[in-house]
Amino acid sequence: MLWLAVHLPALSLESFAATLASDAQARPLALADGHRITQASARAASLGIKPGMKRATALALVADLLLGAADATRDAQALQAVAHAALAFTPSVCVDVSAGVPVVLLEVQPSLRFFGGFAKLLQRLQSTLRPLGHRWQLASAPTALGAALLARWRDDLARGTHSSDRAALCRLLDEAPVWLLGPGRDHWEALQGMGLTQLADLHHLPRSGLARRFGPELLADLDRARGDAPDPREPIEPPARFEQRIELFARADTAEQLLAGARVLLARLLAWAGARQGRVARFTLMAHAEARPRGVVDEPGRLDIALAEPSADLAHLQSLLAERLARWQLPAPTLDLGLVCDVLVHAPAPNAELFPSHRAEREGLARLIERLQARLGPQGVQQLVRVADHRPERAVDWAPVQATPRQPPPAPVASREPATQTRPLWLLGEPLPLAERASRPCLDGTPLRLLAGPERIESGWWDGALAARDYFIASAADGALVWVYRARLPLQVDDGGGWFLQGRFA
Amino acid sequence: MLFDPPAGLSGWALAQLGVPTEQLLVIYGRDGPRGAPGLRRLLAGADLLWALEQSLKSGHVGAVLAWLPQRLRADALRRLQLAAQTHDGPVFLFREIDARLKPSAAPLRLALACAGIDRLAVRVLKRRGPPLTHPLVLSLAPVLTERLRVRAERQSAAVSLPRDLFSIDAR
Repeated sequence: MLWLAVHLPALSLESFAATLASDAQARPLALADGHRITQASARAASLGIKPGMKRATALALVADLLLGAADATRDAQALQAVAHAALAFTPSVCVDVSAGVPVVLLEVQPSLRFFGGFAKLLQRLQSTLRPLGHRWQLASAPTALGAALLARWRDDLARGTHSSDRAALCRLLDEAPVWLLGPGRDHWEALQGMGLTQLADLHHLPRSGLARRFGPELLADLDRARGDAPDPREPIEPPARFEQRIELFARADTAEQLLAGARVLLARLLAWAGARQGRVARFTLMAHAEARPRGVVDEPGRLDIALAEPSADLAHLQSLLAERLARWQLPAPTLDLGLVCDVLVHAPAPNAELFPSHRAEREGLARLIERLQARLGPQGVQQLVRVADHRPERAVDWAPVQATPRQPPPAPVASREPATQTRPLWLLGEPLPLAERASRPCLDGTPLRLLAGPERIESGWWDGALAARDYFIASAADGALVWVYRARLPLQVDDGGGWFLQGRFA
Repeated sequence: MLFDPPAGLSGWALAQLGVPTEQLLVIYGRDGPRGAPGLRRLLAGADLLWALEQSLKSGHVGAVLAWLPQRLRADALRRLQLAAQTHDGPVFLFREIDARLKPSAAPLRLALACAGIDRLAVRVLKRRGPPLTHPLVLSLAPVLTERLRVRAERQSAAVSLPRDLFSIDAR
């Protein structure tokens, strides 16, 4: 058994930073409990803020310090996201919050061969955890509690402490301080007074005396850490539905201010999707406004984002989200931001190919269309749909593109090509009425010469827009060919002969 | 891919020319496609340029024909030129006729004019290499049958002067 422990020393501070808008995240941050500072960010620490300082002193030292309070539910949500990200590596993941310090434990012995060795697994775990934006400390040991203790010990090691067998673990644990153990922290003053500072000292004392003096939990923890007693752990299960809320630090009035919080939620959504071995097909962003007086709660504003093809790509989803947020109007100033996802696609992702093939091109085109439609609106990108109708203005319909990447390209139909073009390429939106002079239609003041004979199109009696027209191909003064028609029905008296310009030939 | 064409397109004509209409994508700018109610909206020029740049950079579209807003800024044109250089297919920008007097970053600039029935006169304003003095006359896809065309040309009394309709920048 090989347990890997991920300790998150600054979890509370980072989950507080997730509630801030993007311009506020560069400021120095600190967490305060009542009047005392409990944790300070790196930037605040460099300016002189230390834990234990009074609130007023800290504010006097650093004028633009942002103070927040630790929130257990917020921390639990952030920890759950890290645990979900770890579930991509092994099904046995458990969360250990004893001694008030959050640690995620993974049992990785069965996964070592799949990932190609311990070093490679560590690398992949680190690249998976990076988008979540936490600082972590890794350690590994043959026992779960041993790994947790080693990870909690120091939080400034680059590679972390790793021990591969029990003897090495016991040697490392002998030098560990006693306050790492939960019960050791409670009895810290007494132990210090007796001169017991390291776990080795505890190990050499008679067990019955220790148990009588400090309670059996201390001994039990020591045994479990060293591997002398069994330590069964319950693995966690990812929930069937992803639903998380972030309470924003400052009220958001425009949708752009939601971007930072929405990105954090998106990273957590993808961690959950990876834990359930699926890809995201659609999700909904909900903006909850503050409650109105008398407890009336408005409906939250919803932004539905549906993807043409399910994806697990954080960069693509973030760019889509940024474009849609830029166009979204918030119904009311927002205090809470939530993300809900019910639908996961469990089919395996299509294989990436070494050389670009036709299918890879179609998928890239689908993503481009998705991005364009995210910014221009769904009506922004249109596709031509041919309608079987003789009336030229109704023969073409425009529909927004449905980006479907899986359709094979249509086989080219060998049609009988007429020798000449009978229809113009450009059709005017509204037929332009033309004046008539000497029984010839005039365009821009010059009479047109009718070249090709009348072609009668008469159709549309069934939906009330009867069009009975004689179409002619005419040439203008410079030789450009245009398509004009003379309307036979309905007749209007003052139309000057009823000549209209319908289109131009290329 | 077409960006903001000046008028509606006819599906018959495209099929007769052999252009597969299923693979055609159109982004409408100013007026929306004609005849479809509720689709008339003004798309900002900046959005159109952004969409053009994104399509060129993605490399997943084929040929691109764009009718850009008038009085394009020189730096916007330069950015499009850089994006078009990385693109595989040809990119044609259609601009107003007065733009032929202004400098542009495009490697090939053409002025199109009408030269009679079913003929197009192309004057090369700028290209890589020595300049071309006389215009090229290309024949278009025939609209009239041969007999009608000959009769029409015989009927035209005066020599028609070419009148510039469009100025094309190709890159």
